[in-house]
Amino acid sequence: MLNNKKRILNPVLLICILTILLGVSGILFAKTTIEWNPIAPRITSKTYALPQGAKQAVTESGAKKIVAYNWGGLEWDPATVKNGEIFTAMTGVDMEFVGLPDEQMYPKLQAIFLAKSPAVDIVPLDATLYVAFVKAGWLEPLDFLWTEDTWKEFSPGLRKSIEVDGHVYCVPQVSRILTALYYRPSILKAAGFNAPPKTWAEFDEIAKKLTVDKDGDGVIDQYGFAFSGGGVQDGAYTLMTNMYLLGEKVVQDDGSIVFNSPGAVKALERLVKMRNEWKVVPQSVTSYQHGDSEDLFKGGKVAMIIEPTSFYADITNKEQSGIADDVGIAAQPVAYEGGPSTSNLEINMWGVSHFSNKQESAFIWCDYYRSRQAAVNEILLETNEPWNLSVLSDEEVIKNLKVDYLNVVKESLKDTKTEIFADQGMVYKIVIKEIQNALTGDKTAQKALDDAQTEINKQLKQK
Amino acid sequence: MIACEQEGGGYINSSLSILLIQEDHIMFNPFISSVKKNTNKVHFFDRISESRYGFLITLPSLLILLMVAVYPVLRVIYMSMTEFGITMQAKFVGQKNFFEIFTDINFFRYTRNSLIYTLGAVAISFTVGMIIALALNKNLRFTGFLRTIALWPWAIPPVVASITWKWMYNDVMGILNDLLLRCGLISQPLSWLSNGSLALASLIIVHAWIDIPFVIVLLLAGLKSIPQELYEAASIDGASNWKQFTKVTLPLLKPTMMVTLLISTAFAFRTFDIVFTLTRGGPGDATELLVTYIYNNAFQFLRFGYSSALSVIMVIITILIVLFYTKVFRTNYY
Repeated sequence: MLNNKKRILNPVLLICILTILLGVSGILFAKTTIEWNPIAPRITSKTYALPQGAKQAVTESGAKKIVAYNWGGLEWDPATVKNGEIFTAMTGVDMEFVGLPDEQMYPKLQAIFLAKSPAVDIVPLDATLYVAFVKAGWLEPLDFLWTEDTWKEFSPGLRKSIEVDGHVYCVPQVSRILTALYYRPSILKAAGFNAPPKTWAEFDEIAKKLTVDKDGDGVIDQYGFAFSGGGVQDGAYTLMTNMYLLGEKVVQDDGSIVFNSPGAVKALERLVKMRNEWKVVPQSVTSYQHGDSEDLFKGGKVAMIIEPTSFYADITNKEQSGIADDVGIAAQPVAYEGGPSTSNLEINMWGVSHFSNKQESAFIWCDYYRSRQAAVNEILLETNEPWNLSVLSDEEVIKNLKVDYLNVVKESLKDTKTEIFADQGMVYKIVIKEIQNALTGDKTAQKALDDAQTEINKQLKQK
Repeated sequence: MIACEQEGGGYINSSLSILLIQEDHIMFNPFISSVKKNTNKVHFFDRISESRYGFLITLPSLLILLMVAVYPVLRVIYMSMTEFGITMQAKFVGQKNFFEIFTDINFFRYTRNSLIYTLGAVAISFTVGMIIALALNKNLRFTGFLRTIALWPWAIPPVVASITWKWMYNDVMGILNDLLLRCGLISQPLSWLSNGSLALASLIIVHAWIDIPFVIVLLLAGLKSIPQELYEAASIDGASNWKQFTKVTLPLLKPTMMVTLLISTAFAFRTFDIVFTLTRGGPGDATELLVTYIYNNAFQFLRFGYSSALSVIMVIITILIVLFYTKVFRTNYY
């Protein structure tokens, strides 16, 4: 009997001792957990405050510095620099930004991730490869930063854009409204137009009138319009922007990617007409990439362009622009009266590397960067639009930004679309090739987009 | 390495030992046992053979070479036989990627574009470079100044040069169209980068412009090494300038020409920055090259296995080009 008891008691005693030891060690060596909730008050107040336990968790993690890759050199991103300084002041963790040319960013990141290297903690992302990075398991899930209440503080389209299979792996850094209409009021007035166009019909008429051979030598000196028909993303966005205004979308309800819808063909046919029939755009639009149309507008060679709202800061800066006093900004013209005014919204995001060994600090960076304080710096210093809607009612923003610009931003943010899907880079590459074939007259718009769709179906293995 | 001749006629190489040679007697050389024998305390380096010692001192360099050259090459070869799924895990698929490449119509089109680009760019840069090098080889006034000017394009990074050319090609503000219009050579601006048939030619011109100084430098060095006496002798024999060029200059310049063409061709075949900056392969795919196709497959389509296989084929094509030049320019002078 005694032996039996002993036999039972011994293991029980052992379990008790182990449990106590585990408990004690848990108390002694426990890491402080960050209490992320409540989120909404923290990210919508004028000044961001660290979540409870954040500072202590960072100290315990021993992180002294985290590395964030950045699109381009920091001289172009004063808001990122300022936000980095604020973050360091709050957490005691230094930010090391590594600026890379856009075209080198993804190859570099892919090399780092394939090597499972912790060389980068904070990953800059755009729509092209976000989903691919998620599927590869290279990004940490950030679901704990997104509660139902939190979503309400952001533009309505955000959730659909960044949720992948019900999980979120990023926070928005900035958005860019790609579809502001820039025009030269003096030129429009001289041609008899007192207001910018509101529909495509008006726009096309004005573009034709503003395409002029000033000196009568048979060579056009001023074009009515210019668009990006080159690059990869730029050219694809040109088509998508016009598709949205015809009520079309790329990602269908069943998840398939469609670029040869009737609206897409109609949109491309109009672009082709602009180049080859009406001749209101330069022939070289097929090679225009980001910034090329803007340069022609600045140089007075083009009367109207549809470009991101972020261009407004450049063009109205008297030190950089010779036409700062003669620039108007308006919402893009709609396809037809009463038609949708959907703006194509480009998104830049921050994610946390799965291989980072300073993830606590990186999570806090993400939490801070989608806050009102960080987004106010972005819009004031770089005119990068916010996803966080509390920014638009910020006193400093209202006081410092021009009314015309702010009105366009508010108007555009009412109806936005940002479509993110897997293999976006590949799809854009296929589509831009065929857009150019249509623009150069090698194929009809219908044939070009049908060919693009066939290739997309083949590559994505969709029916 | 220091080499000294033995009485028997062979060579003894020694890197470590100090050779003290006085009146044809070798005073100290640890590698000749009859000269000195010290069996009590022999230093480690004295005990190992010459070849092992040589291997040891080159080992660090060999290791670095293995890491930065051999390993990546082997890795690419291995990756060319893999496929990356959505989770980016490599799966061995054997020869599948290679079979796929040989049924891929784009591969043949873009390889053809690459060969046209390479041939055009090298032909222009070599011909123009040769003419300028011959002119600069003459001792004329301002030759030094002209040489400096001719080398300027080489000092400009290709991306910067490409952006500059992009503006020059612009059909609205570009200087090229402006000049041609003013000269009355064209009535409407040309769409240099937007016209399928002009775009590749436009890229070739940019490449040639960047490459010409490189050709000049190498050819000029080759020309300077040809003894002046040969020209004087040819001149006395009544050879014309053309004869001197074809019978003296060209044959003696052959090795330099081979090196120049080899390097220029390899550089042209792998050109990326010019295409990427100017056209990104457009319009359509008129300027898509093999190297941009590799880039797109790897970094746009995330098909690392397929792009690795394309890279392997590209290396093979480059080796074939090298063999071709070596055969064509084989000389008996050296």
